[in-house]
Amino acid sequence: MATPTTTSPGPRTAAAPARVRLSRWRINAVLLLCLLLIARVLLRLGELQVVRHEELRARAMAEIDQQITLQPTRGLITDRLGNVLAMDVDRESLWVIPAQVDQERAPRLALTLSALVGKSPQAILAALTDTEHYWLPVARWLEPEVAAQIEALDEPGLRLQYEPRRVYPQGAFAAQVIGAVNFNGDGISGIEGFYNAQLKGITGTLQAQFDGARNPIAIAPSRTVPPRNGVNIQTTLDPLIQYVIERELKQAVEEHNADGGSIIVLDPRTGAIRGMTSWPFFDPNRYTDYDPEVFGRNPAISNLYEPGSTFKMITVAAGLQTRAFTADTQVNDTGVIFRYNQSLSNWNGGANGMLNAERVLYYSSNVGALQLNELTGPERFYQILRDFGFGAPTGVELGGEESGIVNAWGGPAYNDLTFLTNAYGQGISVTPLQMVQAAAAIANDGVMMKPYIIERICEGEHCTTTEPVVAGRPVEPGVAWTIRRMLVHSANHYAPVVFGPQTGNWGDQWLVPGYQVAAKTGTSSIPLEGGGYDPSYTIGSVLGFGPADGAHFVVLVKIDRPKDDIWGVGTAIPVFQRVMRELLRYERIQPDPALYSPGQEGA
Amino acid sequence: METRRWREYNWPLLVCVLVLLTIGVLAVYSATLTAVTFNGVPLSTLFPRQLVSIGAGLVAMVGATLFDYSLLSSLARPIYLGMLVLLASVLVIGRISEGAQSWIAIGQRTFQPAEIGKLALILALAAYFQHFERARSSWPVQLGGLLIAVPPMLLVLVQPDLGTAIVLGCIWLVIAWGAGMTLGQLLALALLAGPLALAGWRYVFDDEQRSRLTTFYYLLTDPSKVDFNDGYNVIQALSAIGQGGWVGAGLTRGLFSQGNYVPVQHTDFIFAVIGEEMGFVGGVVLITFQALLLWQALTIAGQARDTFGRLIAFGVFGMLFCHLVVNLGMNLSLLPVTGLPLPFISSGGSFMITVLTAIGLLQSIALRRRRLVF
Repeated sequence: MATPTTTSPGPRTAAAPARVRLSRWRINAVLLLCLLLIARVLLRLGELQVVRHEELRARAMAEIDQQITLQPTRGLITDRLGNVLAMDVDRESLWVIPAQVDQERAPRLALTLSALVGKSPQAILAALTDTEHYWLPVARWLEPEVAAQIEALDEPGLRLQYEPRRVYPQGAFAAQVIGAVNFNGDGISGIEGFYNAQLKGITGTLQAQFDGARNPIAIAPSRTVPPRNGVNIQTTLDPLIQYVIERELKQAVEEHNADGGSIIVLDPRTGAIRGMTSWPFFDPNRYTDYDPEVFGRNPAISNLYEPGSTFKMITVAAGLQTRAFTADTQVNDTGVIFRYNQSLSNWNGGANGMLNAERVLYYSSNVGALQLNELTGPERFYQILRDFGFGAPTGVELGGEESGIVNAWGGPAYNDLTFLTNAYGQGISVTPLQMVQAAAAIANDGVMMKPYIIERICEGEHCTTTEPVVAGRPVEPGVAWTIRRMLVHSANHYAPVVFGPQTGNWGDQWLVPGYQVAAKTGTSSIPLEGGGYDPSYTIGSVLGFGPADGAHFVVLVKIDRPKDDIWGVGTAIPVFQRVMRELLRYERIQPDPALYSPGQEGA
Repeated sequence: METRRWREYNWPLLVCVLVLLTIGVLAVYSATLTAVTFNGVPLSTLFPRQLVSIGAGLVAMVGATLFDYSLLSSLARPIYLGMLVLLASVLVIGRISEGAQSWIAIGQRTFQPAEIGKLALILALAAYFQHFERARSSWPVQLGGLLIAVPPMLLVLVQPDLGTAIVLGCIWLVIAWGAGMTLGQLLALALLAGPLALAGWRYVFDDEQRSRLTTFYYLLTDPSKVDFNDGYNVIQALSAIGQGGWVGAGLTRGLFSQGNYVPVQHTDFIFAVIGEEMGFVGGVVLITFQALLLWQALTIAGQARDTFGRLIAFGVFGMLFCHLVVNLGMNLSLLPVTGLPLPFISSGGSFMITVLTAIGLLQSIALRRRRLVF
């Protein structure tokens, strides 16, 4: 660089006016324009930040400060070992905001979505183009992979919304007990219905400041109520027992073309229901495929039936307990007997001669039973029935339980004839669970436990375990013992139905070899709406318990209208026998080598 | 250079630049602190890159200051032609980003040739008008200037980058005005503007640009008609700025800014962050220093020793002014949305380096405003 020294002109003289031919006004004009525009900007800034501050701030805060509802998780339902029977799974549902959808591309988008969510493209297109609505559902509860693919489409107007779905991982397993949840997330039957409020939990609210992606960034704790998740319910159901009774019921119903049926297994020592099933089955995951009568009703507690001869154990219990007769008291079974201008007869009309209570049960004598009942008298008979819990719901924790119909002494519908037919279980209606509860009292030395199906309810870490409750003491231990002896003979009397064809031995023998099992069969006539009884079909049932002393299980097998067995007993006895045998083995109760009849060793 | 020369250095201009850069660094820091892109990528990595860009820009500024701008006069033609080649090639090999094919990748880095285009056009027009200085106000010379400006404008329009095309047009207009455009020519241009705008609406603008204009129209007339998605940026920016009040929420404390409510808040909508977090006071400081800076650019134009320098200063003024007005106008809903960054403030390397280089050119002109012996 040159150094300006002596040749350097003075600062002022250096600017050569001739060379800068710029008119000053051109710069000033630009400067003026610049200042005007900047003034306009400043004015606008003042308007927005000072004048309209409150308005814009309110608008901004409305977007930032929001209250959202926090959904609780619906509780689990498990069996007694903790296997999950009902649970919520995380799913996302697809919604559309039609106004935000690119309408020109909507048909193509509908085709794409159709392939993903499995709905018709026409239906999806209708939703995409329905600009009358702000917000429309397209598909609920998408599989996670599908949701991820829809997310990847990155199409405007599509929204995925978290929506948990109720899932029953074991399908139809114990479905009548568990129940189902409707599309609004409310339980409509079974435990889901009975405990709906507790399972659902309580919604919470979150008052927070949200960012542009709707994530909470600053939470106001004082105004935030966390949701209370639903309780987890552990049932008393035993998975193996439930499996066995479902398998046996299905097989029997299909083999004999029956209309329905129920099997209940209850622990008489506590009242815990170990298994409960009814036909027809249904899958609560897709309950809408079934008739409401099927998914909305648990026949084991809701279906009334006339218990038939199984009820004779109650008749005998009533007489023994009230000292109306003893185990040695004899009545004359003439096969047919006339009372109140009616002829009442045994199942086959045959006479059995002089019978004590044990033989009345053994031969299932109607004429004998009604004469024993005459000894007891209606007042004491119905008192004992009440003590056994008939005519009132058991109070099991399931919705829709029926009370049954007992035309008790002193009641408006009391009838002398009905009192006699009640002796053999006609003219009285009961639920299957009531029969089980009553038999459990006999099995448990006269102490009747209240049936229950909820083992434990846990709210978070805090659990409440159900304590067994004594529902009553309808009979003394001695009476119970006596009836149990009678019922073992009765059970052994039916064993040939199972073993006769196998061993050729058609005599009395142990029903479940190795064990003493108590049981009574029953053939229930089915009342018709117009009066009288169904002439063609019956309900066959077996009610019993094992081991006869210190029983672990009371089992009721009830098969409705088997088409190839007019008495029903031939259908129900093998089912009862197989179920009881498996239960006793499963319970690891030592078989007694003395309790094998000839020919049963290999059976 | 000896100390006496530094007395010619425009210190107010430097102060303006440093104040604005400081505001910019704070704003970008806050805007990228918690923000994420549409795809959920955090923007926080942009802040260190912004510091590097500013550093590179300052180096370029000092280099341009020391460089004698008049040497560029003879290079203007090859620079202009090279710029056209670059702009054309970007259409072929360029990377598409945010809907426009504007970027060229060099290794890991990308840059926007359109930014170089702004400087190249300034130099080309300044050299052109200096060359035809005697007939500077004549119709043929003025039309010639327009012919120089149109090719790069068309090349960026098809990228499509309407904002840069507007900036190039603005540069041309200011330089042509500074060179001696007559009021008659200005009037003719104004008369042509109507039919040109209509033709542009029909044949040049794409749907996106058209919807921005209609959105803007509705914002001014009947905000309820604004489609939520189209007007989203503008509405959110208004909320953020209005939220600021007198002094703002404080840096990194703005709920809208930190909540990622305003899309592209680190570049085109950074003024929304400043408005919310620094308030009216911060906004006025920013605009004041921008205005002072523009004033200094015009002062330098007035003092330049030759037409080339004077017109460069006009061109730099035009570029900065256009960016400032379009950007603020968009943030404040005074103008339709056109994606132009705010000079010295917005995140973005190419533009930062371009602007600081331009400031260096201004200082080079200021330093050499006296006809000294070298």
